[in-house]
Amino acid sequence: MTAVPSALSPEVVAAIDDLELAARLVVEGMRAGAHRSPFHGFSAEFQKHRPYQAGDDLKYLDWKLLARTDRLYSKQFRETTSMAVMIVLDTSASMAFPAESVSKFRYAQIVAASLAHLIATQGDAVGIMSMTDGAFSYVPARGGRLHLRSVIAHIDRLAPRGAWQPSKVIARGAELLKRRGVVLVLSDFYDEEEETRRALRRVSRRGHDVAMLQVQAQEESTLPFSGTIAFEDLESGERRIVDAGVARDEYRRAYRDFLSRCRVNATRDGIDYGLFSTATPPARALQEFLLRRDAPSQSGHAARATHA
Amino acid sequence: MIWQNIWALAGLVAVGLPIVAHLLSRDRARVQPFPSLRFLDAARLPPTRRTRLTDIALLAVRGALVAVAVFALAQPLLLTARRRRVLDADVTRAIVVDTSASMHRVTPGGERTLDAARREAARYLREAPASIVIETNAPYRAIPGAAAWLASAPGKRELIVLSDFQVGTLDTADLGIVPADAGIHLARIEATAATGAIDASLEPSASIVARITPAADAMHVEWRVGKVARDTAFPVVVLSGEQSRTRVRAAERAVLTVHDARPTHAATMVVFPDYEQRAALRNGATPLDAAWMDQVVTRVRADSVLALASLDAAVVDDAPPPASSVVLARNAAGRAVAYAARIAPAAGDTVTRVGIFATVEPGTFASVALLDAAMRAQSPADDATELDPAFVPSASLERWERIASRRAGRSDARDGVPSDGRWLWLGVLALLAVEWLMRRRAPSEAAVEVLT
Repeated sequence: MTAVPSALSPEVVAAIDDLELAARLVVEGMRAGAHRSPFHGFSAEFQKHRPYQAGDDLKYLDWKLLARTDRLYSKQFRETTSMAVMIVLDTSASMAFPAESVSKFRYAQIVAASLAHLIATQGDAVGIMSMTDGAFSYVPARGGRLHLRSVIAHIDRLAPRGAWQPSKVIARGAELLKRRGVVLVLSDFYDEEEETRRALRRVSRRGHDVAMLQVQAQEESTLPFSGTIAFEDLESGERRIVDAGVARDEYRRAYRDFLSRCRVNATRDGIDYGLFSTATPPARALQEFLLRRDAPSQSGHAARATHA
Repeated sequence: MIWQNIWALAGLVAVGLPIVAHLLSRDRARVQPFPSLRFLDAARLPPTRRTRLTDIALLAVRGALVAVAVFALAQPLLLTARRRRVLDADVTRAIVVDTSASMHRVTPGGERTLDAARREAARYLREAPASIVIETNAPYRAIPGAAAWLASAPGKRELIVLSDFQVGTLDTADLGIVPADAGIHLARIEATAATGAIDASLEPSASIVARITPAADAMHVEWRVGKVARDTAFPVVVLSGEQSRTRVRAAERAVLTVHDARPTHAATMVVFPDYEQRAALRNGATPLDAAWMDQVVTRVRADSVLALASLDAAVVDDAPPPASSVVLARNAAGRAVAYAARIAPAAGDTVTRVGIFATVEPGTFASVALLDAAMRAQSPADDATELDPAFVPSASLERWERIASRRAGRSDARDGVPSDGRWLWLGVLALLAVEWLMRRRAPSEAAVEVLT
């Protein structure tokens, strides 16, 4: 495949009707940055030692053996069964904002499809979980290229509508993973803040690797409106009349506090956190998130917060 | 309630201005779909209250504010009884009382219409002492004189006509000569049907007589052929000496032969020189002080037969007429043949009379002419059309009326009644405060029109 610039703009990517193609382009863009799989090593088991060769990653050098034997040996790992990853996608109406440019939902679709592509091509199982009209809508986690296409096709068919119950969807998504796996939640996390936090914590305590991928639109953070506006809640239909110019500072402050709260709580709960802005090219956003996530840490899944 | 600046009421069209302002400048809110309202505080609206056409309360207050201000500019004046007295004290009136035959009908209260009119005239006179009363059986003829008198009168002026307002009493042309700033008040005295039939003959002692019985809305006429019994009593009181009584009766019969005696409510007496109490009556006489007296005297003086008969009359009372009297006729030598003055009621009597003092012997041609003139002067011939029950419509009378206004260029220092508009200005201030409070209240979402 021809190498493509790693930072295709969100508008360009979103304009690609074929979600599978868009996901592929995003992943290629990530790989152009020599990015490695973020999920590598989670499911690898030590197999044997072999003598160190020039060029081996020093990360796999067995330092204890070196101390004992004064000889350099690299560890070799054997991959076990493929990692199972469940992507939980928020399909509530609030994700449809903004309507005039790349919506959060379209952006989340691209990120979800890109993640599914990345996961599937590295041999892991991927599934998708969401809620439509109060009913669960999912594709179980499986491997294979054919399954990937069905996952991406399912993601493509989803549309933001009504409200959703994130705590239930997250819990159900984790239940569908037969063994310990990874739960990636793509949402703006506006709904049921406390219940969602508890659900994520519960899933994490069961041994799953949980990550919060919070999607935001630039207009949400800046409130670029003026005059008297009747803001209409996309989910409830409630209207609130506000002088946007007067309310802007207070709104920004409240919104920043909300994001900060999400990040801090995730960190405390040992959950990975990433903020994805629709103004950032999806490839770069994913790249930065996965790089941060893949950075070495002292203990298990160190909770890391990344901002993309 | 009267409006001293009634043209200001045209400003009531300005009540629509707040509505127009609302329509033109109403605030509109664009609808913006947004993912969550969690971080938006609805109270973040500017302090001024947004309005829209359906904000009825604020619109009503603003409309009321404009209306009250307009009413205040129109300078209303609530005419209480006390204020009327104050205003009327400053008014000069010419009061015209209709004494025509139709005014001898009866009011619904049983009072003679003319008496009711005179009573009203007295009341108007008490309220505005600097006024005159004119009694006439043809009000339209009295209007020019009243208008001329009003033109020279000071202060606020008003013409008042008291009549039953039969058709023909007045019309707009008659009132057109009244000064423009003088008020006109036309007070109708309601009358019912006449009390009885009236005989009208074509000529004295004629054998064809019409007996006319007026009703409320029609006249019934019964024609009779043959003499109709008439009241033969001489309607004028004649005072003479015992010895001349026969000649006086003969003179009365002679007069009655020529003219019919007609009912009258004027009171006239003729006093001949040989009457024993003549000196006392003469000494007690006072100047004429009633319009009807003037009318009687005027008619007598205008009698051509008396004037002719007086030319060669022999005067037997040389005493000069008192200064309080009016000479009715003179002979060729210039000596008074008769003079008139007011005679106060005698003991046991309530009637004030016009006393005509004759200076000629009873039974002379001049004395007969005097009796005839006196009789016809106090009871002029009735015009049968006076009994026509058609009246000027009340709507026409209302259109002809107007309120006296202050004369241009003059300041009337006696006008001590301030306009009630000052209270309305207080109301305007109160409404301004209410409007300000309503705008400063916390605005609600319903206060803004939402564009969809």
